[in-house]
Amino acid sequence: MSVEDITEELSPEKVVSELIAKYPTKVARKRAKQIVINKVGGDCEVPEIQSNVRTTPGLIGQRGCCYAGCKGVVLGPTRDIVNITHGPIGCGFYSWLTRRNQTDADQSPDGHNFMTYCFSTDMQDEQIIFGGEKKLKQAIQEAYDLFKPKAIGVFATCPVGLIGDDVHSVCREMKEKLGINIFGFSCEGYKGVSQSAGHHIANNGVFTHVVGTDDTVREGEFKINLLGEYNIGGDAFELERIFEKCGITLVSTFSGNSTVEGFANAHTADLNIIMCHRSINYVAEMMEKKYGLPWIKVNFISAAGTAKSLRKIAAYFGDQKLTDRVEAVIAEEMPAVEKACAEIAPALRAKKLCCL
Amino acid sequence: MHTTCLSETIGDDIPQIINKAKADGKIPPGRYVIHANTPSYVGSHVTGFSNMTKAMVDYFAESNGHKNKVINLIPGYSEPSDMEEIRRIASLMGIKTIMFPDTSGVLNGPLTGKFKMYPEGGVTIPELKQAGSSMGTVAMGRLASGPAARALDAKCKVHCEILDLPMGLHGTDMFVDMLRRMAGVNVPDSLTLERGQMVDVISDMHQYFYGKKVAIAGDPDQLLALAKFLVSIDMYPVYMVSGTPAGKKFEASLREVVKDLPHEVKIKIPGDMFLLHQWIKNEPVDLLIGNTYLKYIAKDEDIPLLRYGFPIFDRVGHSYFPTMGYKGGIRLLEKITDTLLDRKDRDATDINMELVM
Repeated sequence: MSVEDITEELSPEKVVSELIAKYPTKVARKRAKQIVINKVGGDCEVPEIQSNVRTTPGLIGQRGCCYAGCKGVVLGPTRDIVNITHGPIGCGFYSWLTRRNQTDADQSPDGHNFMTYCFSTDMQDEQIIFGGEKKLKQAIQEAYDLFKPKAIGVFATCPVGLIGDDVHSVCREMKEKLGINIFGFSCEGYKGVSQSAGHHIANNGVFTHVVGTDDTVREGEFKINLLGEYNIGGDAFELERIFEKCGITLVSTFSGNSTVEGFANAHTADLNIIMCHRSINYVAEMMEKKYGLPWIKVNFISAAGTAKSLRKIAAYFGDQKLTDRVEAVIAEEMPAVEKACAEIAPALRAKKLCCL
Repeated sequence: MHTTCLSETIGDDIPQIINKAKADGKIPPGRYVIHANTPSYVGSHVTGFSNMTKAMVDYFAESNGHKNKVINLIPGYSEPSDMEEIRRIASLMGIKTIMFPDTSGVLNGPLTGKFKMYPEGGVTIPELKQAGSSMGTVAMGRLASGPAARALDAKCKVHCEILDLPMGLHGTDMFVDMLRRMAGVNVPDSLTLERGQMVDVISDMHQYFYGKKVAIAGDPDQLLALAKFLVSIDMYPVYMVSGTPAGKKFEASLREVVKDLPHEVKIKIPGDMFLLHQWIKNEPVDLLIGNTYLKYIAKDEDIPLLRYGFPIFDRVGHSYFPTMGYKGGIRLLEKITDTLLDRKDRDATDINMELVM
């Protein structure tokens, strides 16, 4: 069967009804709201797809837990915070280096990079019965003694929430004792419907404990924060290169290739640009409210998307010099991209694809 | 069904839930639900593996009153390729086997372009039931396979022998000999030939193994079998850690393996790679053996790494080519010499670079 035959036979409506028909009535009712054909209506109305609800038992979901969103996604790529998982070893192990976040420790004077380590309190059943706060204190002390980090983050896991360990009070106590920034996240895995709740908790925590703690205003005419970029496979390095070429100063990234100092004076920037809205919009909203820092949505996927986003940033600042420089950079970068596209395009032309 | 920290802490009673589902008719006839208790705060991944292997016995094995001419093989926390190799050795000896768990043909299945919900390989439910009527069980790996073998002995009176993983010359000898005695068969010439080939490789390459210091991080069963193998070819496993709390008895048997080495040996059970790294910083080794996470230490300290154990994320091959049995032993020797000689070539000056070596 050729591709054309398949597409002819499978109209979107038919695919949806066939998918739904497989489910029991109750599940089908729920599922129907989650499989929507992306057809823009006459009055430019985009159909709304249901999300942010609990996974229906029996369906295979590709979701993470609250802890994964908080420790794994948002705080994971920060190299100079010692991120301690307070919990049994499994949580720490599976969030250890598995997201391909790269970081360049040579950019920091102290060269701190703790991302290659897995810090965990390795709770055993003894702690489940008698409580794990003592072990957490020991872990914080040990991490401090060994690494002398600028900041320590503590992440709660499911059993910690169930047995009632108070990670925040332990963090406050150890912060007082050690004199460095120590903060906890109540990101027990069972909270919320997916990793999304963890994003929110991470955003709140970083905003409360770190953002705004350093008022040093850096040099630079057009200062931005890049939000929701996690330097997967080194993406952020490429964006850093482009921004520098355009004369745009990057104050901080949340949180690819990031440092705790970057978070601390993020509020001194002129503009927040957001890539992954789902995971980081809360920080942008809070910075807007508290510091009057506006935010815009950008997208650096594809060369065209990158050019569009750079123009959007230039338009925000409304500075002719910046606009000219951005245009010059786009003009300089595009030929290489167009050449690569021209080489590969014949093999891809008219091919239909499925995105997951 | 596996439990998690969450369900264990709130106290879900899985057998009761399963029984109720059965009583309510929610589990159709001919369908089964089995469970193991696997909270992350008890033991390690090896504990969970071991518990689920035992659950296969607890839920399925039944004795029909006879002893079939079949031997149960419990291959432990091994690669699918090793499971295949273990079965191949038994079949060369003309022995019928039931192997569980069996990931061969499951985790190393072919890409055919056709969707199949259940892969071809693996053990079946009727086989798991029949395991209770086998004439004996050979369990490989005390930690991963021991509890299942003992449970089968207790439940169905299937005599069990618990061995190390069949690694290296001696380890494989023990396995083959146990099969021979249990099934009352002879060792075929074809297997003796493989053994001879392995002896040949060891004696040919011995000068490269002799006195080389090795640091190993791994699961207890693998660590013990590997240490025995390395000591037998005159390598020095000087640093050894396992994250699994394997107990004092295990640590004692590991120390027994290295007690005659002409070198100080550091062992920590449970111990982590951070500690291993500190030891290496104080006194380096010639070779690192362990899972993918060791590559950071290998890079930091510029020490060659042989990937072995679980998990290996960044290289293929381990699911297709065994390291157990005689053939697998030859492959492991090949990998060790390749790793050491590649380093020797890399470090050679123009003056001492040799073609033949």
